[in-house]
Amino acid sequence: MEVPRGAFCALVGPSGCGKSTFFDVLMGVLSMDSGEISWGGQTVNDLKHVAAYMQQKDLLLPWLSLEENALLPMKILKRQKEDDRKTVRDLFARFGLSGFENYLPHQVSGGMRQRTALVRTLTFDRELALLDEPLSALDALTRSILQEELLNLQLEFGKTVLMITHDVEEALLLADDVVILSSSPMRPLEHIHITSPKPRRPSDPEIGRYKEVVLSELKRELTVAQ
Amino acid sequence: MHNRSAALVPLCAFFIVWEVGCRLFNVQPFILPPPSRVFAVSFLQASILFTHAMTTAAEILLGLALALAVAVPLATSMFYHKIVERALSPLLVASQAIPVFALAPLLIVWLGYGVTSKVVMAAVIIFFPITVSLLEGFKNCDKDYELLFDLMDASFWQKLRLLHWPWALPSFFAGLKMAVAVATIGAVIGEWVGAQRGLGYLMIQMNARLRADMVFASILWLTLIGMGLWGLVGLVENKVLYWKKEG
Repeated sequence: MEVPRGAFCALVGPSGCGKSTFFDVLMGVLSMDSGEISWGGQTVNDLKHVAAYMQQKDLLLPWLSLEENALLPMKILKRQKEDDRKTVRDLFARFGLSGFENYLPHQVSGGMRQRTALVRTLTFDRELALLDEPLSALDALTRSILQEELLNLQLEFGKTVLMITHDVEEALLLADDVVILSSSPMRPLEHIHITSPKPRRPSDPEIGRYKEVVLSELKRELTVAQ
Repeated sequence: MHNRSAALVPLCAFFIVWEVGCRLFNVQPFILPPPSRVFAVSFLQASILFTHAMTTAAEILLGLALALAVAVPLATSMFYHKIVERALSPLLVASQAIPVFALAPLLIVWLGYGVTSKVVMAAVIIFFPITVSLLEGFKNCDKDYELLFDLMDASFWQKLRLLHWPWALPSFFAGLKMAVAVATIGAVIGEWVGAQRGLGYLMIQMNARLRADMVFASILWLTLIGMGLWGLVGLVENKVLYWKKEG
């Protein structure tokens, strides 16, 4: 499997097929039994040092304000500069969090927390963003709004994005490449390259067409697995 | 406020039954003084009680400091090094199986009649709940947060300071409250066995002179020290854990 630099790639597959395990391997939490990871043409052990991570839990520290949470990667990576705070403020403005800088995570909504997590993904300042079902804990409306923001990781900030999702429509709306995974053993089953321009709408006929294909593929995979 | 006044009802009932019982059955005050007398003595002899209470309170606070100085590094190293935990946790449990009070005479022999032996007594009792609760707090840390910190390449100290320590604080405070509630026991036992000052010492002296009212007054003051410490820890807790959700 290959992801071009600057592309948005979505992984969909039946639950329990090992998507999250795959991410654990990429992040160096688990070691591989076999296979190879390469980044920029070079073989590496893991992508720990090039990846930022976001998942359905916001993973914000409850004792820090939203702003301090967003500043955390800079603080830890000792890249703290004079204008860090300004960078974060700008990002907060960009992601509709202005005025909430000093709130604690439990004082704001789940959508806002996830926006803050998204800002933190950016302050990681890593080239690759690994997203593990980042929006699956949110309500449908918040999710559809935040999907656009996820897209901006790629379009506006030039990140390479690898996203796990169980939401087929979300995958089709956001990704350049959708990879359908099979379970036991997990391997890429089908690779769909979507060329229609972004942002896309769920009502786009192309999206609808692909949705049929992907869903029937996934259903077949589930029946086989059972 | 409503909850607090609710607690007053059984307390008042208790004192009333005690008072009435004493008068009704004409109990000798050197056997069981009525609460009115205990309260009166507590105020009338306040200056003596205060001097001794200060000694006991100092012993408890120093014991607390000593216990913290041992418990915090201990729990931290047990958390970061599985081998230390495996090596020490049986010892820790065993240390609690030994009745600390049995050690009191020895501690007096080793450390003398002064404050030191009482401080150590209190510390021995206090450090266990603090160590255990702090370790539990560390262990409760969400693995996904640890992964996030690993991805940020956080150093050992950064992880300890920014993640594990704040994470363990609520549990730490729960242990600390438990500890201060029993801390008075350690100091008083130490004073019973041998001391020149302190509320425990005063109790022994007064008991010998059949001044049960002063014994009870000492107990009352001890209770106040315990409750004061509890309240103090609660105040600090509220300040430190400002981020805990209400309710």
